[in-house]
Amino acid sequence: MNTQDPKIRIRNFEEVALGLTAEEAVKEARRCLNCKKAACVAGCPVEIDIPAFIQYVAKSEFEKALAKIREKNFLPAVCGRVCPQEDQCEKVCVLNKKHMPVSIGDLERFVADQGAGRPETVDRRPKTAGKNGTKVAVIGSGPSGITCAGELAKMGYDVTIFESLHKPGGVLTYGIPEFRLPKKIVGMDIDFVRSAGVKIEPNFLVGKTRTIDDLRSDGFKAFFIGIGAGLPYFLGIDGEILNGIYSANEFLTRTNLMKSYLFPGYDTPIRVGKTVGVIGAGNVAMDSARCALRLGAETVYIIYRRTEKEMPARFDEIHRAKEEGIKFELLTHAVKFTGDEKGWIKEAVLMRNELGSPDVSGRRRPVPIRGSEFTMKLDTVVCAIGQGPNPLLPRTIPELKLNEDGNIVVDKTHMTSIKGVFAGGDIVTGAATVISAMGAGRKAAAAIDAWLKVCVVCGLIALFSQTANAETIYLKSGEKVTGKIVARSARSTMIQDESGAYQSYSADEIREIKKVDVPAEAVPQAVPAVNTSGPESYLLESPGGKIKMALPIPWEKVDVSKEKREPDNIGTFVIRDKELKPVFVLNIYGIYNLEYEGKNTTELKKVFLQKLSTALKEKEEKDINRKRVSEEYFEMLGGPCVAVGYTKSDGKAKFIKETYCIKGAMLYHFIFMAVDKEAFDREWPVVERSFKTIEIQDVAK
Amino acid sequence: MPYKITEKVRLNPVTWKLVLEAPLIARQAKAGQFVIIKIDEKAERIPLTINDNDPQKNTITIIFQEAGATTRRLGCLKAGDVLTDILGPLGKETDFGKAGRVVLVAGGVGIAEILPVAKYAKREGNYVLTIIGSRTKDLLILEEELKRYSDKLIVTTDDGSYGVKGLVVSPLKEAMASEKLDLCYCVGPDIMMKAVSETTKPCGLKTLVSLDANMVDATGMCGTCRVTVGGKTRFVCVDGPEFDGHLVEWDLFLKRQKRFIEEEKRAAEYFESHHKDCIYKR
Ligand SMILES: Cc1cc2nc3c(=O)[nH]c(=O)nc-3n(C[C@H](O)[C@H](O)[C@H](O)COP(=O)(O)OP(=O)(O)OC[C@H]3O[C@@H](n4cnc5c(N)ncnc54)[C@H](O)[C@@H]3O)c2cc1C
Ligand SMILES: Cc1cc2nc3c(=O)[nH]c(=O)nc-3n(C[C@H](O)[C@H](O)[C@H](O)COP(=O)(O)OP(=O)(O)OC[C@H]3O[C@@H](n4cnc5c(N)ncnc54)[C@H](O)[C@@H]3O)c2cc1C
Ligand code: SF4
Ligand code: FES
Repeated sequence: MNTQDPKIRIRNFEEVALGLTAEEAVKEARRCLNCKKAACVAGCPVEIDIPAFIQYVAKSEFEKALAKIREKNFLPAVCGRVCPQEDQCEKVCVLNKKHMPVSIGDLERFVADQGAGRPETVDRRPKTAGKNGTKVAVIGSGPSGITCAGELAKMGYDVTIFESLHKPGGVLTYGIPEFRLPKKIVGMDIDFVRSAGVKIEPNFLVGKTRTIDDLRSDGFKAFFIGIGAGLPYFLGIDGEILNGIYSANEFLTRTNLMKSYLFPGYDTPIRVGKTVGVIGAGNVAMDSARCALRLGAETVYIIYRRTEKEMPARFDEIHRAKEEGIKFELLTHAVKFTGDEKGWIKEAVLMRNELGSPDVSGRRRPVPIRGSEFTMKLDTVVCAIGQGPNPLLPRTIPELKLNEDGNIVVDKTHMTSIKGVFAGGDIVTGAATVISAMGAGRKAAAAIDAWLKVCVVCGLIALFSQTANAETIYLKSGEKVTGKIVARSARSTMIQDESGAYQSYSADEIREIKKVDVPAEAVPQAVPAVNTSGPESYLLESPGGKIKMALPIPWEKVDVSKEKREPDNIGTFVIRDKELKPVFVLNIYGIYNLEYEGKNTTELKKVFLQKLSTALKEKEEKDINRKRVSEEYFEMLGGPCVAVGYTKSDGKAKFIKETYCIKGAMLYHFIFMAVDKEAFDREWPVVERSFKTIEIQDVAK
Repeated sequence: MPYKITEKVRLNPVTWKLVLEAPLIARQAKAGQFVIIKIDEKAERIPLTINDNDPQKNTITIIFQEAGATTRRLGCLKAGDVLTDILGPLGKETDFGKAGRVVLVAGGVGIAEILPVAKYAKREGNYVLTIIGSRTKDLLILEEELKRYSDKLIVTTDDGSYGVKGLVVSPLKEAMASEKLDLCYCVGPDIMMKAVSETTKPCGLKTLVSLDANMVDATGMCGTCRVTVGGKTRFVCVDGPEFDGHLVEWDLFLKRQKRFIEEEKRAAEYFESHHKDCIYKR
């Protein structure tokens, strides 16, 4: 790829790598073998269908190529520039056997840039499922947060990103310099995510502006923490407080986010002396060194304790730094800094190393050579020895489990020690790469979706049982049906039976209809058909018994040991809150108490029954406000529960929210459990449905 | 979301009070906390103490003195104008609780910063002695407001044009000699905070100072605000701004505060030559 001439580019902040021309791109794309088992795809942390997009490029169908990449990657223009392709897709490309891999990164960049500057057309916007209204909060707008937010928005969630800085993008915005990743490009990729419906709230420091608990009460149901590795490490040696010594974060933030290179046109100052020493040799160090040159330094040293082979920076960046005249002091470390009387750095005392035995990372350990100290005159020092997790947010969540380095601990699904709170990117792994952060964001989005489905969609089936005003239809055939008469005409009578199903009988089938007042205890057969059909799922039968469906239950999250009764197959249900903690056990005989968060639920039950009886009294007076009662019921359970009631006619399930709750003297049974929403939709042809989400309330009240 | 200035009041020739619409910050702000303000796209991020907050009206109040380019630019804005960015509330909140007999010492624009601390001290049931110092009578601000929260208020002026002539340190010494004090809290020019800390140290009067370090992000990300306290490196923005004045290594801090002085001068000159219109508007 063509680059700006090193002599010229060290005096400007314009992009160094110029990108491919269309002609070059098509030519390069034609080299791709379109392998059946494409190794490159496996090498890509977000699994872009690489050969597919390359084939489009080969055919000059750039728009389609971009759409293909964006199926998996929200930030192609960024990744095309900063991903270490040499360690990922290009490394495993079959053509790399001959050391000539397809330049996948350059092609990705080319394709992404084709979309630049053009107005977003409707069909180029990400395809999003219909809005489901569930609010998810993403904390941090770096690559992990952006990706997670974009993916969730595509699934229909209502996503807001909270970012503490005044501009979104994380390291892409404040860290990686303009000449390597133009901010216009970052903005373009972020606009794409916005077009998927993601809201971005800058100037919002979670933990200070609002805490996670505050956000929960604002209605956010799940969280993704992607706050990066923002805490600068210092060397911990003498003189580090001297003026002229910057952390790389400070140096780069002033330069890139605050645009100090345009000072005084931009207000934020930066001071760079003639001779600059950058400690470290990762991407951060290379960026700092190259910024220093562009800010007017005459000589810039990279001071690194091991050899070139161990340098963690991308190959291209090291190469370009060398082209630009950066000097490398390898096998060298800093011992202390000394300053002048005004507190400015004057010189560094450095020491040479040799390589010893390999350490845990497999790299050979630098061992100081005794007596090798020497001094180097420096006006400016940039400390680029790494960043750690910023403790500001974690400190506000004491229950959040951290490892000894302060990184957030997550499980396979990226869930932290707090239910519904997920994390990914540098805050979990420690400083890593853009693409690995994106991979984490993507995986977490899928996990959040699964978790919310388990927890938010609680299928509710109102099961009919004997009620005070139930009636029994005695048929001429000798059979009888007990239930509630819902419609009656001269020609026929419709009854909703114990199982909730509707049956119609013509007038000449019916012998007589009698009011019954059956004590609840007497009718165990009225209990709905629910069977455990294995360890993973519950079998749920539709009220008429005609439709059966398996509902997966995340058993690993269900702790039945504390329940006084095992869930059984004669209609005992465990009423759980959103966290799947059991609150009540309920069956036709009554409601059984369970310990809930250390509190006995007797109180809860009392309140519940009280409300129930008030409601019933009201019913006698006027028509009972069924909806209200049920809402209260849900409130007591703690939410959020989505309740789905149903009635059935025309052979189709019709979901309406008012159906559930109380009828007559007996409580309808509710089944709260995990419902696979897709299976639900498949099994139950929906005519009409409405969901209602009820906020979490303090259950103890 | 831009942040609107709903009110602007001049407190003295170089000090302004701004009331700003910032609902979330207005809800959460506590005594001792500050905000980062960025006027517009090209502006610097500067820290300013939250002087007051009104969760009902969704506003916060800041009081600032025109020092360099940014505060002068801020001084040029008028009610109805908007700032692009405000972040907060930041820093640790004041939490000395009921310490007993508390002496608050403030100078210059620090007088504005001590006001929320005075309110807090009073609310916690402390005896509050306030000593405020100003160069001259015309520059003195918020005397009446502070009186409301102080059991006793002493004013000093360098030129003797009002109150006691001299620096705040002398009435502080007198108070220390004549009454038992449990805590000293000081905000003001760096030199003053240093002098006060040195005055209270020999007799072990615990002294909190609120450091006004230069900042960038103010979220603990850059380390520009680092200061040595008790031999340890601390970040003013997240570990402070309050620190034990007896443990702050003042000489290092004072030198560090000057690290951008030349650039600040340049910025001020640039401002004066580029924003002439705005200077005269006010
Ligand atoms: C100078 C530099 C150069 C790099 N070069 C490369 C490269 O060439 N290739 C590569 O692959 N990787 C590179 N990396 C690494 C890569 O940028 C990171 O691994 C990646 O950005 C991590 O993404 P993230 O989403 O985890 O966090 P970040 O990008 O760090 O974003 C975190 C965001 O969260 C915000 N935040 C933090 N706390 C809060 C809070 N409490 N409330 C709200 N918001 C908060 C931060 O302000 C920030 O915007 C580089 C890193 C640096 C610093
Ligand atoms: C936690 C915290 C809270 C704060 N609260 C307040 C507050 O409530 N009110 C308030 O007013 N300030 C407050 N400050 C200080 C405020 O942030 C600074 O005054 C502000 O950053 C100054 O910005 P500036 O660009 O106007 O001045 P800068 O350009 O940063 O100048 C700062 C200093 O440099 C010196 N300087 C500038 N120009 C010149 C010149 N031409 N010649 C000689 N010296 C010069 C001055 O001494 C000046 O004080 C607070 C600081 C912190 C850290
Ligand atoms: S491995 Fe290389 S040649 Fe094969 S599909 Fe991927 S890019 Fe093309
Ligand atoms: S201002 Fe950046 S760490 Fe404090």
